[in-house]
Amino acid sequence: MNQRNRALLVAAVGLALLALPASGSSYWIYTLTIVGIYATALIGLNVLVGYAGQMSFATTTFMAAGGYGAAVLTTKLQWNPWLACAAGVAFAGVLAYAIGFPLLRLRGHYLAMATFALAICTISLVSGAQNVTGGTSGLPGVPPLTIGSVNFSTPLPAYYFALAVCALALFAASGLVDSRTGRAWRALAKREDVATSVGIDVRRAKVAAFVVSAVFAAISGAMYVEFTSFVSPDLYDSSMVVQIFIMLFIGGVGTTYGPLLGTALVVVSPVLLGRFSAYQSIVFEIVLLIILVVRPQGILGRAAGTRPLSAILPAFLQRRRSGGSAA
Amino acid sequence: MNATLRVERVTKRYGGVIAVSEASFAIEPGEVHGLIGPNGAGKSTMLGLISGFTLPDTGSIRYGDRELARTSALAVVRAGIARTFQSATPLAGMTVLENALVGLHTRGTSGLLAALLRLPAQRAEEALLRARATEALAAIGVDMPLAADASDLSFGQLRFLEIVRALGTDPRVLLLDEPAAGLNAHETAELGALIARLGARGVSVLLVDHDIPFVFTTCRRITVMDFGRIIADGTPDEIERDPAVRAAYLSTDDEVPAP
Amino acid sequence: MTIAAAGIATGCVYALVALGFSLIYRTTGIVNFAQGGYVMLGGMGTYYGLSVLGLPYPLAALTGIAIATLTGLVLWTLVVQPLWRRRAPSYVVVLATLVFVALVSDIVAKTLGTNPQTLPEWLPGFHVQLGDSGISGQYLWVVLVSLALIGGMGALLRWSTLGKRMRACAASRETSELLGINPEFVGAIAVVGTALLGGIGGVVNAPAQFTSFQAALVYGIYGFVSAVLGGFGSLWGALAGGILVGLLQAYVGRYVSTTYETFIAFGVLLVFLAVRPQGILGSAWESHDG
Repeated sequence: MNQRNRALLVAAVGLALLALPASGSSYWIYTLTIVGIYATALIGLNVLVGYAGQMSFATTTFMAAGGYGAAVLTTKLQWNPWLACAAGVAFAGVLAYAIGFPLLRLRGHYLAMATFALAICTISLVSGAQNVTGGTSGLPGVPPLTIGSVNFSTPLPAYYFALAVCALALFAASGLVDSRTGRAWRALAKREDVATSVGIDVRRAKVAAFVVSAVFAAISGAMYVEFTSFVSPDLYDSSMVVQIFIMLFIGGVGTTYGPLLGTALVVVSPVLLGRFSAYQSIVFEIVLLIILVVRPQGILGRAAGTRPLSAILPAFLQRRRSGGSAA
Repeated sequence: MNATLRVERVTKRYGGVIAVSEASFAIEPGEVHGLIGPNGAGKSTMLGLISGFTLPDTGSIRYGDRELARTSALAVVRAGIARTFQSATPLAGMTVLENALVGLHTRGTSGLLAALLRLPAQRAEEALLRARATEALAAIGVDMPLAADASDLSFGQLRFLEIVRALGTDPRVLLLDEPAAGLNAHETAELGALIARLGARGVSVLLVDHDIPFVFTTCRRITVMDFGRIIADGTPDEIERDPAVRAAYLSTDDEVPAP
Repeated sequence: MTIAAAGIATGCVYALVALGFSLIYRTTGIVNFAQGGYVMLGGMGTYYGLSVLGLPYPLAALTGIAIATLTGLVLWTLVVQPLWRRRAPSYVVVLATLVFVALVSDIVAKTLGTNPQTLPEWLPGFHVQLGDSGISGQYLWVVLVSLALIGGMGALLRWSTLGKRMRACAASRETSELLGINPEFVGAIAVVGTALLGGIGGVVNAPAQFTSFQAALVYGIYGFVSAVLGGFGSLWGALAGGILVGLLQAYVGRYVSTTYETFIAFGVLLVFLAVRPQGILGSAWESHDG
């Protein structure tokens, strides 16, 4: 699909989304609001994992920073909700910056495990700090974001707000691909030594990507809590971690619209699963495994950069298939 | 500012193996300097040491008045010394143009925020860099389709892309790691011409290679290594006649320098 | 004293898991987060044999071990081997094995319920006197069996042909291929073998402590922490790390707080990863980089 057709398709989808509320379907308005909120975090994670090639399980940590930041500052300290959200997001950014430098020295599995540890620590911390975070029961009654008489936790304003934030996130992230910063990330994702050899400060670049994904995640976390007026540790548990990665990989990690598509599919999946909704987590896990093993580039990704399916066949079968020429 | 690159008594050990031992040589500004030796002589290690990817155990590597021996690879790049890699290392999944653009990283200044917000200054700089990259690719002497994925290029094209990328940093010293390996006659000639142009522009070139005739015709001075030591250092004529050099090559299966 | 004993016993189980991590890492360069799952399956599989199939205890135990081992085989064939062939980036493998263990845990939860279960002791009434209090003799079994398995693994690696092949693969996949060793076979043995070890560990441990579907992730995580602390890739480091983590957990849980237990464990892990990723006994090498 060439540039122009893609632009047209995007514009068409955009218009459809803008006009959606006219259909009156409260289900879709609600569902797409949720999609928009989560997609914002996924778009940020895509920058870190898809562009810069760094693994992080810590998305939930930064979502919690935004979510709990908003909830605690408003309900315990009576802050203005907008300021509370901003503070949560700022905290997430600072935390990512501080933690990023030591953590991102680690490679591959060490980094993965360290960020996983971070995610688990977060659940443990917010579950345990009864007095501040409400412990395992969470904090109800989070005041909504308002401008004048517009309440952004009511269906229509929430929908357009989520749509706007998501669109902005998409705009920002896609601007990164063809930029000096984005190319530096993509280069270091492939070969760190080559990146260093052209003067890219690999460590700072990695931390920058980490901070970007943390900020997007925090915005998403804050929005969700403001929309639902409630926060609890369950929002950030290990099944959420799995869900996030399904959203990331199913649409196509490293593509522009992949995170959006993936988020939409996962959020809508209870409808698709119908009778099997009780087995939702099992289905998700199986789907993600299949994607990772069979089609890691997801729905929208190109296969370039990964070997073809035949690469997972035993060696002797491979040689027969390619008729003796090098694969 | 062009200066002399001095390697002084550099030693590198890996466990019990001495890769480089008390090596010293110098590269004058604008000089095309060859580094040859049989397999395992320590040439690649030397290149790694100069480029900052490997830390020497002892010795010094000075460029002008800067001591670079124990700095990071990044600091070495910033000092104006660029390198290519022995195995052709295209950044797969990125186009030829993007590979060249990566090389121009240090020639740009727009950062994360500017890219996120798509500021006009960033867009303008991006267009400028693209133009420069396109120019550089056109001037290199070997045709390459700009929009092709870098991993689809032929071996020879990859080698030249590698050099375009390294030149993007506008280096004062260029370290070439076996650039002639696998090139056909036409490509080898183009490479020689390119290196000559660089020397004329005042860029020092360290050429590490196994193609002896090529090194002899391209380089003004040659350093010969064997078993981690420097056994000869001089003009191509002097090296040809040096008995130590002939002995080193005759004791291996490497190509003997032509008389 | 009882705390220490319980801590050491748990630590030995962690050590078994850590051993699994290290072994697979050394032979295939892969970090397999499903390791903890085998311990869980050993225990829960035995429970399944006892309560659902109605088998006598020894047969049920074998069932548990068999289930764990088979799961290892499935993991290798369907997940690890294809990814390894494709030389997938290591974070994909990490994610895939984590998802696998989550899947196995969820399946167990759905089929056997979410209640923690325990198993009958091997020698009912067997108590060990420690100072002025006694602990269940089962803890002793745990320590003995774990030490035997670890020692046996060490001997196997050192002296047997298979062990030599595994060590060759650990050094270099390509070189060992040239030497006629089939790295995939070695990898399969490593994965299935550690599954077997984990299963046995689960069977011997379940009578001492409760087990449930959640055990997989818990053992996997603490096992990983143990492996890192002791030095990833080191056999005795796995043991040292495991016991250290077991003791830490026991004392922290008793004297500090149980709510923050996970937080502290992971905090320690994070600090180690940030400051000394090669652990206490390991050396700073990364021959299989991600």
